Amino acid sequence: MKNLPRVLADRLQALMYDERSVAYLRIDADLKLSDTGGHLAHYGLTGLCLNEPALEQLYFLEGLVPLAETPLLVPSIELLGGRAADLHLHLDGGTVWVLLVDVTADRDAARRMQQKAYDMTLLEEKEALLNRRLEAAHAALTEAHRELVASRELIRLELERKHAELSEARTLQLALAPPAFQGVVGRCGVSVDVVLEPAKEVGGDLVDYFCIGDGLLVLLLGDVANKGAGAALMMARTHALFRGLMVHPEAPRLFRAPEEATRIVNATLAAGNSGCMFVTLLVATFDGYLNRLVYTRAGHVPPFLRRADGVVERLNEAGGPPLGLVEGAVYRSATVNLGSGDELLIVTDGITEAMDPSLRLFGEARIADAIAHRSEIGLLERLLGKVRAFEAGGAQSDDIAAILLTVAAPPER
Amino acid sequence: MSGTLQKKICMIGAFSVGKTSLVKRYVQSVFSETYLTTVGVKIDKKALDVSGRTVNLILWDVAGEDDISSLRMSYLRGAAGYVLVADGTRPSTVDVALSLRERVTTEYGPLPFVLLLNKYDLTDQWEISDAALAGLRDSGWWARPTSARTGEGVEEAFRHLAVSLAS
Repeated sequence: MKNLPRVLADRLQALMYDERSVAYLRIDADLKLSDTGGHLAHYGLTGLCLNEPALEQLYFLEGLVPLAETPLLVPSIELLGGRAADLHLHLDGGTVWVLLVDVTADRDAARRMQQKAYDMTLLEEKEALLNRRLEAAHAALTEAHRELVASRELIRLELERKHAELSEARTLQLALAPPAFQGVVGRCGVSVDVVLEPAKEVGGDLVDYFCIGDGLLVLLLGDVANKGAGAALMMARTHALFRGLMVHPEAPRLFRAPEEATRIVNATLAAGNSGCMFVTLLVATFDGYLNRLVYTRAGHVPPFLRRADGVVERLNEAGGPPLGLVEGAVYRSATVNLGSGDELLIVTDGITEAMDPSLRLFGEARIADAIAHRSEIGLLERLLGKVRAFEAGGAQSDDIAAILLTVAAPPER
Repeated sequence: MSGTLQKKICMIGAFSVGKTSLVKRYVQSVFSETYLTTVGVKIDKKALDVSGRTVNLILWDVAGEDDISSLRMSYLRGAAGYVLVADGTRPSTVDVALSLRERVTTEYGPLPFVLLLNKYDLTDQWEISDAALAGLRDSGWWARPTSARTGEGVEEAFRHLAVSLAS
């Protein structure tokens, strides 16, 4: 100061003392407060008692005095009231002088800059953390997607394989339905027409006919409960059992009394039938020498018989339980005489229970109506046409099968 | 001689780990959601009773360590112990805390300390596994998860340090 002009020295003193709110404390060797001065109130340091322990009044000096090194600067200490001060401590003999210089403005400026920097850094850290989580989630998603694609491919291949198998099964099943027949049985000319249309790839409807000797024509029409592969297997088994009886030495006896053939097949199907699958079936044997039809109806829709004069009858006798349910079930048969021009129509419930868009059933009356009227178009073709029209484009709800026997006039000899 | 003990305790750790909030929670029983960075040091006082003896903890809330400014070790001059604070949602702050502990030990010797993993209330962002916490405790350190927001673990931590200083 002594090298400065008086006016500058005074100005400098004013700058430091007044504008930086300089205050001081003096602590003696006994750590008692021995002197104070300056802008102490600026820092909230009021009510100080001289010659009393300094650290009990000035707790921020705890650990700093006794002074281990001199001079010591403790920068930017926030005191009561939020003021910040640099603490300058130095030893003078056994006395410690503590100088407080206000740095509140510097502290606030530094805080503003630091705050922005920290906010920015925290944002960057959060962004980095979110990116890491996003990358991890993306990696997991990518892996899951890869697994999904692989699974889909496996499923597609499996579906293709199953579709191919079912397609082959459908071909084989449709091949079980015999072609139309026109010929002589006994002394009668007869024609047989059949239709089989599974609702799915394979179905549970059974349609067949075969001759035993030259005088017997056996008609079979069955319907396995449910649809699909399981029903198809049940249908194939039932079909095979009847075909097995066809070549049995006692086949004429068994089919002249179709309740006996039915009983044998039922007993085989019912034994160990844990799945409780069952088949409704109609077995009818036409004796071409006697012009007589004997039939057994195992829970099946009664056949329609159109007489040559146009009268439609229902063959609803000879009822019995469906095959496969009761191992010791007893069946009965009934007999009707057939004449020239008579038509026998046997259907499954795929026709009677075909549904229109409002879920109404096709019903038996529509079948009776179709059979009552003759046309140049074959009855089965007309009947299927009516069913399709009734369904109005809707999906076929059940397997459809039908067999039509027409008795012609006796052949001329 | 007064029966009162007075001990200087420094709060140190990376920036924005919640040192100021922990002091506020402990001294004033309040919590503010607003983050206000500390410049220099802020000093508070909390008196507690330890086995019938009053212990004044003089809490030096020291500005956090960051990439630009490192901790002024001079602030720890005369400290009887310290509170190491890390943010449990930012694993890097645990590394900072461990580094600070080494520097303090080098400069001032093995002072008593507690390690607080703060912000335990942010469960969905918590990054410190139980195994990692167990690993810290296996080092013989007193380490606890804390929450300045809820107060969980705060009183217990300062008391533990006060007891070890008073004994």
